[in-house]
Amino acid sequence: MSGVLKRFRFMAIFAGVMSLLLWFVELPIVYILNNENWESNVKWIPIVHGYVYPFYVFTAIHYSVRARYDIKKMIFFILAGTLPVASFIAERRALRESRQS
Amino acid sequence: MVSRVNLSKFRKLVSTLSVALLLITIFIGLGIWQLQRAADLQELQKPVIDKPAISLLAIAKPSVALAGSAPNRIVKFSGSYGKTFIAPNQKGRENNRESWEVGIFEIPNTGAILVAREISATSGPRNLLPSGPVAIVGRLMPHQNEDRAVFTNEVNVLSRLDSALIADKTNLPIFDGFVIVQTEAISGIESRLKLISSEPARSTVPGYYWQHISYVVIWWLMAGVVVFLPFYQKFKKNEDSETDLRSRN
Repeated sequence: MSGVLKRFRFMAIFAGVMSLLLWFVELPIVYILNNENWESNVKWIPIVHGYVYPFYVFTAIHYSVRARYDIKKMIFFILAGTLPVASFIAERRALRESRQS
Repeated sequence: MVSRVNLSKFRKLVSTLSVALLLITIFIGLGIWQLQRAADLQELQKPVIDKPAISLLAIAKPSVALAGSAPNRIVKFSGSYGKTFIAPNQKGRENNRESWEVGIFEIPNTGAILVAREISATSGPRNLLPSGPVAIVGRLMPHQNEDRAVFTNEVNVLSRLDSALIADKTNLPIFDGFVIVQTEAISGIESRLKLISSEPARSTVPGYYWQHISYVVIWWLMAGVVVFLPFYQKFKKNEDSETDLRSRN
């Protein structure tokens, strides 16, 4: 279980950081500032974010199955990777629950 | 009693299957859409091969919106310049901002079209456009929708290259779009111009190729998750009931 939890926590933090960068750095530069020079410097963000999320989904499903979560909680954990802060909340919750059990 | 239980189970199964099928269809459709966008993006990056110059009148008519195949074609026409304007803050080579000298070009008995003649050396219009018959060869571009400069009522300044802005400045019907000059000849002698980059106009697909491919992966993965979840729910129920039985015993 500890390996599964570690993998999930790592991916939750990684996906959370990438979401923050996407929402608060890349999107404002592309759609608000319209600065083409800055845009070329941040073009890696949506690409990395796009590939990190599927790995996050795999670890979230793996962890949810091991933790015997019900289907609603599993869906919450899967979708948490799409919002900037939600994956950090999921990571904290997973850690708390694993300590309690 | 048994048939009622079976009926409710059957209804539940049908509704679950319907929702799952709907979601799978949506996710697979979104994946295919992203794949199409990635293909479009790749297509847009290919170089455009110019076809031979064609008469403007063969592909465009005054007061009629440009047909989809017309933009980017190299066109030729002759006539004379009318009023002159400056179009500031236009995007030039290597994304440099430049002011363009633009004239209303009148084709006798036909119509008028905006012609971006050259990069302007001065901030104001020079009003030195050649008089008399002029032959133009240039790239036909779609009209600009967004102002490149702050809109102003200042005479002789065009905030964007759009025939709508010059409707009251000529008596002739106006062609949609504008032309960027590649060659200009007066009585057979080619003018020496500081030519504007006439790279073909490209419609853009936001994002990057590998970004769209990653979204294809995500959408199809979501379709896979929807297939997996009902099985997981059944597995979870069986496991819970087994645990319940064990705890009772």
